[in-house]
Amino acid sequence: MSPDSLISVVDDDASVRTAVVSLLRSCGWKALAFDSAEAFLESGELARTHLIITDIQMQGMSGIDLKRELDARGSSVPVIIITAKTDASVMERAKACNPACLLRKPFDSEDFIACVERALA
Amino acid sequence: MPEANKSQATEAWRGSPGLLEELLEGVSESVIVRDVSGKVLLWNKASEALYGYSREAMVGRDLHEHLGSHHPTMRASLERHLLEQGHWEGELKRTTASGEIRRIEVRWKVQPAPDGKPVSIVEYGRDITRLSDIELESRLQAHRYRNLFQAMAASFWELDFSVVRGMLAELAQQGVEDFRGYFESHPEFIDAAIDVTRVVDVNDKTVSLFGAKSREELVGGTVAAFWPRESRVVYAESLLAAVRRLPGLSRETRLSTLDGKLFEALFTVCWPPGHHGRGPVLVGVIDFSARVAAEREVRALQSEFAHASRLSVLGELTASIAHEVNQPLAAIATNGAAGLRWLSRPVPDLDEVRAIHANMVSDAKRAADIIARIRSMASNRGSEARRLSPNQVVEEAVQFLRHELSAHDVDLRFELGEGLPDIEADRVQLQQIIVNLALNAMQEMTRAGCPGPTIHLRTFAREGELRFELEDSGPGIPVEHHERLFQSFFTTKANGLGMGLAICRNIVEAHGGRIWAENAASGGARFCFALPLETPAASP
Repeated sequence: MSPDSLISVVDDDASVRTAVVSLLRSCGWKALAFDSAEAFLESGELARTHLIITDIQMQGMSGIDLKRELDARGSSVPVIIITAKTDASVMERAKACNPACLLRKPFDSEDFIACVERALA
Repeated sequence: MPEANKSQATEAWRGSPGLLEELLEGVSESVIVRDVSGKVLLWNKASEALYGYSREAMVGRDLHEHLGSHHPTMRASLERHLLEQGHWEGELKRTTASGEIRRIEVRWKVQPAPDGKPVSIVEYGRDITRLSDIELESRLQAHRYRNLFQAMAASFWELDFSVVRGMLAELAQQGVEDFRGYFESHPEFIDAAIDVTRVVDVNDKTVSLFGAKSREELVGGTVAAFWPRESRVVYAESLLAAVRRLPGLSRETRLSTLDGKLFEALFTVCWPPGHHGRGPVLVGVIDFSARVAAEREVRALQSEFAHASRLSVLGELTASIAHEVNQPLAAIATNGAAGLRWLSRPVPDLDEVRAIHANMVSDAKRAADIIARIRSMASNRGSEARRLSPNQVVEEAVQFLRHELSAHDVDLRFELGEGLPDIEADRVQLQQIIVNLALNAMQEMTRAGCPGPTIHLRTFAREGELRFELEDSGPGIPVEHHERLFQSFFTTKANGLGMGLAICRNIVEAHGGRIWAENAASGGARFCFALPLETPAASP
């Protein structure tokens, strides 16, 4: 893993957002936090970002919408989707947009770190 | 006299009809016994003197045919009343042997056989032809009163309050002015007053309601046995009303039967106008126990339904709830893992660990709050009225909906009134209504696929009511549904049971309020409910 890798975390739940950023930093990665997909896209950080970790359900644009938007822009930045949703239909839709990883909250931190490492490799 | 001796003596007395005859001959009142068809069985001396017919001439003859100057139809109606009620008293015009018309005051009483069927009718008669008009009028009034007293389906008592009045007068002489305060600090005064409140008369309904065997068991005694300790405050109130010379007093209370069974009763005491401390006081008692029991049952049922409906609302929110609890759990688990890593570094970063721990504590509290909220919504307990801030109720209810709202991309806008007065209501049930209405609105907007779904939540006070309004941007309510909207089993949902709105209405009405629906000018549906700001004392 490259210490310069920048990871953007998009989640409208402040607790989860802070925790995920803290876990990434404890592993030595640099992480930025955004409370919505729109805020992330408008920040211009996409260009520097090596990995996006996003929640699905957020006010406004969802995580799935974000992934599709990136695809539409021709971006190849990998996206890890984490969700507290439990219904099967949402999981199906999330899988269909082809994320690097799809994790259900609460997730196992070892699984999560393994996902991040794989995505950045 | 012990019961056994008493009945032996009665038997012996019954065995000597000669004694009875002699007694009847001795009285100055006319005594006539007839069978149910009207044939005279017994005719005493005073009857001979009054009507001028000898016993031999009358026994075996029809009483009414010989004496009656009244029309047969009127006699038939009197007889019917007599057989229904067991007694009648009043005034009759009768013709004597010499052809003279006399006014006779009669009292009739039916003598039943052991099987309850009437066997004979005893009549006591007095000649009142020579009484003045005033006396006659007052007698007529007295008869009317007596007949009513007996015929009423309510329990009636005539009570002698004279000794109690003396006690009250004595208190006044001692300088007592605040009678209420005095009664509160001297409960023994009330006990003593009850012990000297004598029963002058009662009607048959009283005998059966209070479990007595006969009227005689009550007349002459005191009312002490019928006033349980808990209800003596009502007796004290009736004394206060007497002191203040109020015309009467009516209170719901609990009274006791002779065998100690308590029942809910409407107690009414009234002092006839112009009654200046003398003569008996009239008390009426209506048995409320059936009504009170039915009300209690309805309340229990209502709270059961409300609970069932809350469970079904929670059922609809299961996915939302799981999502909501999963968020802080995910944060805690992730923070825990991060903390371990910060600690495991060659030089542990304690500042990071400290910050992480603080977050974990607040996330755990957040999860616990969600659970507590759900638990109160899921609990099955009776309705409980508390003073509540209306806006706080709305804000707490919205907590249940936050996730659901964002899942449906619904924009929730608050227009909560400022400085609203508190209301007296059951917190969980009010939240249940708001959650229910909001869920309905969300589902309708989703079903109709309306763009930019929005819900406006409003609270304001108007015309003595606290108004809650929930307006959506959906397609509105079809006119044909308006009537049936709040009826049970009315639903437009594929899987709906149609109880949600019916139960909302139940809850609102139990709080003394009203609920209705209308279409907003914008086209969306608007559900409103209003609760009285001055709630009645009765709990919902």
